[in-house]
Amino acid sequence: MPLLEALLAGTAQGLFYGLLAAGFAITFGVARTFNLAHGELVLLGAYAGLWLNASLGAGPLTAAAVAGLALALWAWPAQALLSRITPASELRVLTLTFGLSLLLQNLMLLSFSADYRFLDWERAEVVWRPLGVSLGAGRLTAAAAGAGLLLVLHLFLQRTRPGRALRATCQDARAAGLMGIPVERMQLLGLALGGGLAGAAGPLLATLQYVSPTVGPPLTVIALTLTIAGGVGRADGLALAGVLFGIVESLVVALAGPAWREAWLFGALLLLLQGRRTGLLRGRRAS
Amino acid sequence: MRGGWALFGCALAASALPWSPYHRSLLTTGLLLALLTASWHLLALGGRLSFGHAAFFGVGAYASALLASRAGLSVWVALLGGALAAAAAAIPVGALSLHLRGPYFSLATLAAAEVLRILAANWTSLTGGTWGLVGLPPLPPQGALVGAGGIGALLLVHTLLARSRWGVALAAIRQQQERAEALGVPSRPLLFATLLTSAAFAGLSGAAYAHHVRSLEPATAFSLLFSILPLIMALFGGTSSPAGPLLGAGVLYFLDELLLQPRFPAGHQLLYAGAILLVLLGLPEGLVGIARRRGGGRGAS
Amino acid sequence: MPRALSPILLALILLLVDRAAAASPEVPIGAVNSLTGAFAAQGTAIHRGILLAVEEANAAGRSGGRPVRLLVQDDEGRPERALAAAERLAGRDGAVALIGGYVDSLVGPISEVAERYRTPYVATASLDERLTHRGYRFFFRVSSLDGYVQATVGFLREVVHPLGVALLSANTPGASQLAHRQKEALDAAGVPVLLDDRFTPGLRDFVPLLTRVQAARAPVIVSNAFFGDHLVLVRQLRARRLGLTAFLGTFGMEFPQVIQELGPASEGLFGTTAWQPGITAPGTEEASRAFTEDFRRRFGEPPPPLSMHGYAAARALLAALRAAGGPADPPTGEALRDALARVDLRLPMGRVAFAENGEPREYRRVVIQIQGGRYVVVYPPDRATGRARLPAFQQEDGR
Repeated sequence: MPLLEALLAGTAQGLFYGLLAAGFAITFGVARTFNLAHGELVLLGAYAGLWLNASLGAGPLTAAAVAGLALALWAWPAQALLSRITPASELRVLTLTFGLSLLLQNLMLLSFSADYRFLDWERAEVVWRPLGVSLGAGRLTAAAAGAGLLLVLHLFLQRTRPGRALRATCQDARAAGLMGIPVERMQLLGLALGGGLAGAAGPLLATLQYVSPTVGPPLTVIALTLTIAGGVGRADGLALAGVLFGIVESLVVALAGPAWREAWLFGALLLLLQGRRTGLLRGRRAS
Repeated sequence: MRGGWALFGCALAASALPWSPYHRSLLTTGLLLALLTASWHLLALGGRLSFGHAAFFGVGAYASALLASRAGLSVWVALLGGALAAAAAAIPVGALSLHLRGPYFSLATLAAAEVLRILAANWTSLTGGTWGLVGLPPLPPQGALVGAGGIGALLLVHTLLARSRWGVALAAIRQQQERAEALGVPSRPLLFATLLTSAAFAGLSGAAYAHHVRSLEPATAFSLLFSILPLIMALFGGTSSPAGPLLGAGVLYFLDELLLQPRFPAGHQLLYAGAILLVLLGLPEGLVGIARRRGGGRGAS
Repeated sequence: MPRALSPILLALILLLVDRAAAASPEVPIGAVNSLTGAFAAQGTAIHRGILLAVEEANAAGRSGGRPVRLLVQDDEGRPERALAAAERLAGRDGAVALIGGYVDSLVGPISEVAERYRTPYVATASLDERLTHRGYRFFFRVSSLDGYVQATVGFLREVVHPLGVALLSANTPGASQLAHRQKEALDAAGVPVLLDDRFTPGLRDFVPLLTRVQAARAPVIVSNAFFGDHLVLVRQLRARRLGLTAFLGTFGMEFPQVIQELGPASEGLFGTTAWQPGITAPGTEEASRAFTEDFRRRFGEPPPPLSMHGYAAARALLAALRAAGGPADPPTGEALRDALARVDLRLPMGRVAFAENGEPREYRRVVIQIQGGRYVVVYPPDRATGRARLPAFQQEDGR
């Protein structure tokens, strides 16, 4: 059963990766930049969740909901900052997010100290054993929450008017504007969704791994990778990319050992990229 | 361009001055970061924003460290070996990434740097693996000259670009690759040549770094930071001329080391981040923007 | 064009005006630790131990007549920053000694600077054996790889008698060298090493790694990984049937957060420690209690075990300072180095004295087991306060 187990573990992990990337992808769509502070937003959500858990006894799902709503508020300062950047080039906005990442990292270090924290949750230890495979409730919860949020996001983007307008804005803001879509409001909505999804991922992350103010950058790298691989404005693409990523990671470790894990992952990614010739930012000038 | 040469003059003069060992050490690191930033900027001229210059930095560092410590070459020769090795590493990296555009290119370079890091960690017989290398031969006292010299050579490349069709073609590729190709610009070979040059300079920077800090491990040599810092420093200085990245790297590094670190050991990174945000929001063209009077600015090099 | 130069001129002026601070009656000591960056938790713990020792010595007038001034630099977990910090402290600020350091990639550059300036450097948590084989005269450290190897291998050989061992190690220089030495020693002792894997710290999912342990049929896991990895690993371990007899975590299992975070899941786990509140070298119980109390008063929390490494290194340095320096002048690097070589202290962490190459003459780690929510010393026999409970691993379905 070990292989089946690794496969299932990879799938569960991958669904959570998809959620990790969802906020990043939407932010990328409306702000046209990699948000290098994405990992730090997730951590802010995690610390909010840890606080809710410690003071009110909130479980990870409640904490994720509250942290998500709280972090959605980041849309306003984010949009204000974005609009101050003129001329807005890809590179300048990118640098802005790096500055934010450093700022948030150090503010968290001052407020929460560098200690490692975990979101404790008694039911995380419960185990199911279908088919002789062990499945931890903690991991399944994170995976299910990831899958659920991705599904909701997918339905929102595909089936609702504001969702379709948001998607159009992501694809080509100027054309969307010409079609009468309120681009500014869509940008605000996108940033709120991006922040909210990052915030919601936080408390779930804190049930999967230790968190500390400095563990953000690797999360950003995962989100960035999946966004490019899975595409912007498509939640199903993210879910698929996340699950593939999780399964490859899991099988490589189980079969070849953990030493080459990153090499396989990024090697596979390099090959995957070979098929993509044009950029998401076609027609935009890089500075 | 003139600003760039003036900065090079400053760097060269500074390298020759009798600084205290501490200030000499700072100057060396500062100039190496400036060289790395400038090498990144060269590639950006072709519209390719690399997220993986740590790959070339790390390969240069490892190659030079191994040439000097295992093969017993003099450090000066090893440094050149590091630059060449980085250029050689750029061949497969370029083959897998240069046909990509925008974020796809950025991600491909990031992935390449990660693959090379893991390779360095697992190819134990060559690199010493995860044990890393310690006690590397030191950079000679004139080590700051490596940074300054590299910057000078890179500026020569820029001059060459400005005077030849290479520069015009790169600008055309950056602005509209399809149109440039339709007009007969051979974009692949040009970008390849630019990438190899850029990688060689990044490799030189990494090579000198290895002998400057005298120990190396895969996680530090291929650190994500060496991919991101050049980008930040270039933008801080301004990307419209070769002077900008040099200025940005120098000012950000010395600001942190000389003013922020000693006075605010706990909060210096907050102030560092603040400085980045301030310049970004206040100076649309980066630091070089201060130097330009309105209307007096020249176009991109 | 000249205006393009103004910022760089500013930088040059900064360089020129950045002269040494005015002479003060205090003796400057330079501390380099990771206060931010990836190792901020460990660096802060070490730094606090150093700070406490210095404040204590100043209050008691124990540092040879003149108070000690601790100059603090943050290495951010980056080698080039550690280098610049050491250069600044030793070269510009006139620090008579350097102290601090958690990982060897940062200790290495500092030790090179220290040797060049002939300024003694006492490293607080360094392990790389190549650092003490360079013949450097100004490099000292309070920890050694031997301490880890003896504790872990001795315990396995004498107490556990396993049919085989799985070594899971972080891919850092210290952890991979430890794994190498453990494998040598286990091979020599006839204990088969069934799995020897390296991974990048911060793995989120250990399930695939655990399937390898399962396939290798290893009854014992020795995890040369860090605190955060142990937490995730143990949680996932608890959820499956591996038929494990023991889990031994080399680094960080002694942090009190392990019991806090894992609760009942921490029961039976083995770890190693050089010191922690309540576990101290024989005859130092009083000093250990005083340190714990003072630390709690000063920083508002119990001391992390790593803080004792900082404290012990600083105590050794302060003792050498007192032995070498008259009240008039701070000692030369050479005199301080000789005094450090003669230091012989009994501290809660054990005997602190240095061999010719700078290695500690004694660095003992004891093996601890979590029993009933408390740490019990189970090895070596002369330090044991209880018996190891084996098989020590209650799997999920055993309860």
